Amino acid sequence: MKKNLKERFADSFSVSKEIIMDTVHISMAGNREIYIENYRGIVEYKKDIIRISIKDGVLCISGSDLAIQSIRITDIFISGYIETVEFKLV
Amino acid sequence: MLNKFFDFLKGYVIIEVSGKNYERFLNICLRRKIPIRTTKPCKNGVILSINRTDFKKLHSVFRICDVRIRILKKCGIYHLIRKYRHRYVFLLCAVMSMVLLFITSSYIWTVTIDGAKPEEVSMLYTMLRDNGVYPGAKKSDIKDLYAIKNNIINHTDDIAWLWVYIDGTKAQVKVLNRRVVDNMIDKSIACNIVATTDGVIKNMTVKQGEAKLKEGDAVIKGDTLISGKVSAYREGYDENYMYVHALGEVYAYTVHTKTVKQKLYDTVSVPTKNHKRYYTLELFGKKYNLYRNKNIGYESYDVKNTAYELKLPIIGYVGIGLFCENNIETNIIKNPISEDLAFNIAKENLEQEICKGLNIKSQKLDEKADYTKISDDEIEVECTISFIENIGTKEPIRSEEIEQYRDTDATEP
Repeated sequence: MKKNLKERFADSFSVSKEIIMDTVHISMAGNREIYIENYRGIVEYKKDIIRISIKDGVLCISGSDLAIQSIRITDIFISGYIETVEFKLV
Repeated sequence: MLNKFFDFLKGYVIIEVSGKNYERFLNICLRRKIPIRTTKPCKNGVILSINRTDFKKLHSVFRICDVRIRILKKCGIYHLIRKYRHRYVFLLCAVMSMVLLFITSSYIWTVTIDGAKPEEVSMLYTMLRDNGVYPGAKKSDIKDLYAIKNNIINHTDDIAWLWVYIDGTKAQVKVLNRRVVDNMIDKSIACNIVATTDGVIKNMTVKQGEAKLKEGDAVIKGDTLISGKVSAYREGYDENYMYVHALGEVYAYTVHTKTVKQKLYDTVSVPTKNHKRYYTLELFGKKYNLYRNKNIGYESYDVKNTAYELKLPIIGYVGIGLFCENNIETNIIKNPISEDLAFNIAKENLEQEICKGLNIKSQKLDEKADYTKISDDEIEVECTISFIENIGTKEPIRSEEIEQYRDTDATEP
């Protein structure tokens, strides 16, 4: 896969890609909590599936008892029993 | 926790957003910088909580998104005040209860004493009462707790230290008892040194007084080792005596023997699911049992006491508490242990018990322990330890004896 200019710059200067490329940054605590930064918006919000729009596509989180615990313009914190985290690139 | 408290102060609304585009509604809210707190998906949409002030901003948003908003609950002080503003009787009662609470919390309702011996408790209650600390006393009248503490310490012999502090409507007293030390006798008082235990004298150093025994002599507990009654000779005069504070150290060979019966099983109490709870309500120092008859009925049980005291942030304990006595039934399980293990356990306990009664600077010489089986599930263990120890302890000479001697001495020509 061809790397773009920003990605090559980040690689060569060892800079975090999420800052340079404005990509999504995901942190998980087991399968109970997920914290997502740099998202665009919410596409779908249900108990068993949450789809979140990110820069390159859609991030699909499926599981059970999913709920958005806190939501801000920059980050979102989801809790519940997470089964899959899937990227659907556009 | 703090955030929740501030949210409660500001006031917030729990709403249900339903419709086809509720996700869009959330996105627009975020872009318009309307803070959304916890969210929870529901059947046709989402339940979320929002600030009271931000709720008005939602009018323009829900029209764009074609969603319906339903208020589920209004929370916070603002809504409470709005709800109860026309209920004058309720407001009056609320104010009256606040005033009543303020008045009642300005008195002491309970006095608790921790760490005191059972025989001291009633004496301490009396002394506290004399110093103005009693149930029903006004807190503002108790000004100097430091002076109360000093007064009690100075008027009692056994109490080494005492802490008095007031927590809400409860006066708490913590007592530290004085450790009794045998040899603490004022040096101006005449005394003998007597044997604390049986033994054979190894060596003795007399600094003051007159030695009554010598090395190699056998002594019985209570024998005078160094006498404080010293004979004073003056040429041309009759034999005379003077009473001194005897000083010295007497080391002797001593033997301590103790026996104990040890079971050949170890007991473990395992709690069952059965338990009985008995509640007691405390209202301003008076306790009311919330049960008729206390009938536990278990063969073996553990007791767990829990106290729920009503405490307010500034006032502290307000004098209202609920005490729960939970009696949990236990099954006693006997695990058999070997004779050697039982012997070792008993031996260790006996060693500890013997060492508790020793004098300071004791030196262990020899130890013997043996056991005899007295039944199928019990052994008797005997432990004998020999020591070299300082067996002398000071015993004041009776003042009558000194006075009698002085009287007879004065009447003699």
